[in-house]
Amino acid sequence: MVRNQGMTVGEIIAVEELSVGFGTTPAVSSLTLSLAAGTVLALVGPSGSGKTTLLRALLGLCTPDRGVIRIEGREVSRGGELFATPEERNLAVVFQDLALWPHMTVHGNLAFGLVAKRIEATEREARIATMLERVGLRGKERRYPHELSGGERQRVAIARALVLEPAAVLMDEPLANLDVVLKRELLRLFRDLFRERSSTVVYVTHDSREALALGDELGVLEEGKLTQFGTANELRAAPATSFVRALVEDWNFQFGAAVRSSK
Amino acid sequence: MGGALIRALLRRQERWVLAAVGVVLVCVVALPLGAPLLSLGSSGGSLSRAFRDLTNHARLWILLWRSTWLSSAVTVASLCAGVPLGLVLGRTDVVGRRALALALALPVSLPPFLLVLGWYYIAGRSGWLGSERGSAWLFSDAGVIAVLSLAFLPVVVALSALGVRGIDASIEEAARVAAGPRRTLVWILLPAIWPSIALAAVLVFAMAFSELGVPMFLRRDVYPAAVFARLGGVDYQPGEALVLALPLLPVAGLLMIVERLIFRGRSFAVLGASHLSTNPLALGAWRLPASAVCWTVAGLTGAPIVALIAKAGLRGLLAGLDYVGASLVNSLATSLIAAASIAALAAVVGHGIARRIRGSALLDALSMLAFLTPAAVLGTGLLAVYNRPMTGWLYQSLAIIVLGFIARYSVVGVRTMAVAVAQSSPSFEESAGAFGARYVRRLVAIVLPMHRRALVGAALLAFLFCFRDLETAVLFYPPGGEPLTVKIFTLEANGPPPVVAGLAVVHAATTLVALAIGSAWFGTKA
Repeated sequence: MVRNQGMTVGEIIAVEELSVGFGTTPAVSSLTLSLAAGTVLALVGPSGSGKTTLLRALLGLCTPDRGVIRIEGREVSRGGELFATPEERNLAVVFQDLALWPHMTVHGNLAFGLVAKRIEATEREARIATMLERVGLRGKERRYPHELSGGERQRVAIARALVLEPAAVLMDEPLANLDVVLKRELLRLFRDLFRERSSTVVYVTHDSREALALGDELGVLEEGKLTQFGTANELRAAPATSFVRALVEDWNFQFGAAVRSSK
Repeated sequence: MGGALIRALLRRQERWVLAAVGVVLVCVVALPLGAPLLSLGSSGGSLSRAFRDLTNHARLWILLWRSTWLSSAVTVASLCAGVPLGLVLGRTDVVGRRALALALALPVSLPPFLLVLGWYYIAGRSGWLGSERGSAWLFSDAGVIAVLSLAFLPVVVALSALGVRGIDASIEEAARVAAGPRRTLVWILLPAIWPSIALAAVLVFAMAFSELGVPMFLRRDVYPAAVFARLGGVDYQPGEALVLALPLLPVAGLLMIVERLIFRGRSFAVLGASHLSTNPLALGAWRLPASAVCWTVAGLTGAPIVALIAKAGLRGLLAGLDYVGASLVNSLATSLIAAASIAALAAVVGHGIARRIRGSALLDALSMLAFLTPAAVLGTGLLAVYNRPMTGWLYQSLAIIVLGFIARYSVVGVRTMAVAVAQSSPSFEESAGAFGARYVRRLVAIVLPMHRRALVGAALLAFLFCFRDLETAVLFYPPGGEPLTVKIFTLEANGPPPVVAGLAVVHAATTLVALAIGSAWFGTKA
């Protein structure tokens, strides 16, 4: 359950009046939202709207100017102060370039975070085996990232994030620059994985179709501000800005195309 | 017929330009490096006999062993101190990062024997902090290792810092989300920059092995000194020097193999990737202690320069200017001409290896081999190839020093250009090609203007290396054509200490001016 105002029970991430800037330019401005357990929030917006900055602030990779961030009810940042380092926030991330560690095997990439969190070896290996089986990479544990196909690397990246069983997974346009077929296949995998595990996810994208496919709820970011928040139907019913209107038209166009192709 | 030939030449511009550069590198690198081997075959057996005699001489092998272990110890000591310092400087919020980087830049731009001179004024028997025990320690193997480690430390620091700053930020951030800074450092950053560390190790070993001034000043016997002894003074025996250079070839070969293994199949785009780490890692409570350690090390590397200035005083400096004669002009002229030539070579070969043009890898290997080979081999080789009637005009002029500098330091420019070109998309050149521009036009109109900063950087680096050179030029400088480093080196034994210190300050000040001009230019073009 997601609401952009106030706090709810079972919330994983809560952000109040968050502002993050670079010099005098605000990248995120007075943003408030909260994200409940098991929800997939798709944050959509044009380039430079502050999506990635918001993600980095949640991860603790940049320092906000103002506002409060709470993760699992614990205050991790207030004003310009950070109370928790990135590794203490119990989050996981999938970057756009995936950031697989090139000198580590698939197994090494998955094991790194588990070792850091001092997960016992037996449980660690069991978790890695289960996760690799689930994403279809069994038998490729000893391969290095450069020995994998593009789709396989995407699977390693999502597996590396989910194997930690974090409070939430933050994903920064992980499917950008992929072909349509691969993108569709991976979207299906992501959706199934999130449902099976009741994962809490913040999925950043500028692709309206990805947002529609994955998001239980959608947040629209424009010039650092959350201009609209709700389900796809709520956005369709009352688009608040011209960008949201364009987004809805894009969905309708796709729906029309799908209907035409099914006739 | 003529038109067809011109058209054919134009179509193969790339090949012809690379071939021309190849001819230059063969003349200045391959022939001199091959000279010791060729001379054995063409001397009618006299050099072969000399080689057999030398190899039976136990002292030769003892010297070779001493040089090897001293260079290994210098390498290990530089890495132990330099890698942590480089990591701290490259990725953390240590106090005064930029100033620290600048503080480390000057000592590495000076020849190590000037630094040992400074240390002598500090810790020698009659030095400011001097004592019998301190002096005995300075004039020992430990003293050689300490002075050279501090002299070459900035090379390791710079390569480690550049390596860690060149890592794509997301690689590090993905680790930081799951693990603490220490674990990220050990398991992610260090393995990611190991090629930079390994390269630093190879370079430091090669420079330490070639080093002549420091061991000779501290009266420690090393192999290059034995070669030098055959080329100077009353004991002039160039044939024997050539033979003595032979056992150094396997050392060069080994270093070359290691260097090739490090860079096998690697892209030069490793450094300076597009999405760089911007936020330094916070050291927290360790910030002040770490800063104190870094500044102490920087102070140690800079201390000999301060000692030289203090020893010279104004009177020594003025006397030094009287003594300097033509040596400063010789140094500046040869270094500037060599640096400009290296920049021109680097534009072709650096671009070639970045774009994987056929033949460039071989030229890059040749230039790297000349740097890794102990300077004594290159020096005796140049002497053997060009000290003959037909090339007397070249050998008896400053041109031979320029050739030596181009041979030894071309790799500095080549690698600088390669790294810069590899960061940019080839599509700029490809689109120019699609619009009809041939190779030379693409190089001149697209590549060079786009990478003019790197080109100037390559020339500046090459200038600094040439200007600080002693070990190559000392072997074959022409009569009356001694560079400043050689002048100081020869004067140091018998000259008045304030004058020697004054000359050293002139050298350091000129280097500082070159660095200042370079950074001012980079500042205005940033």
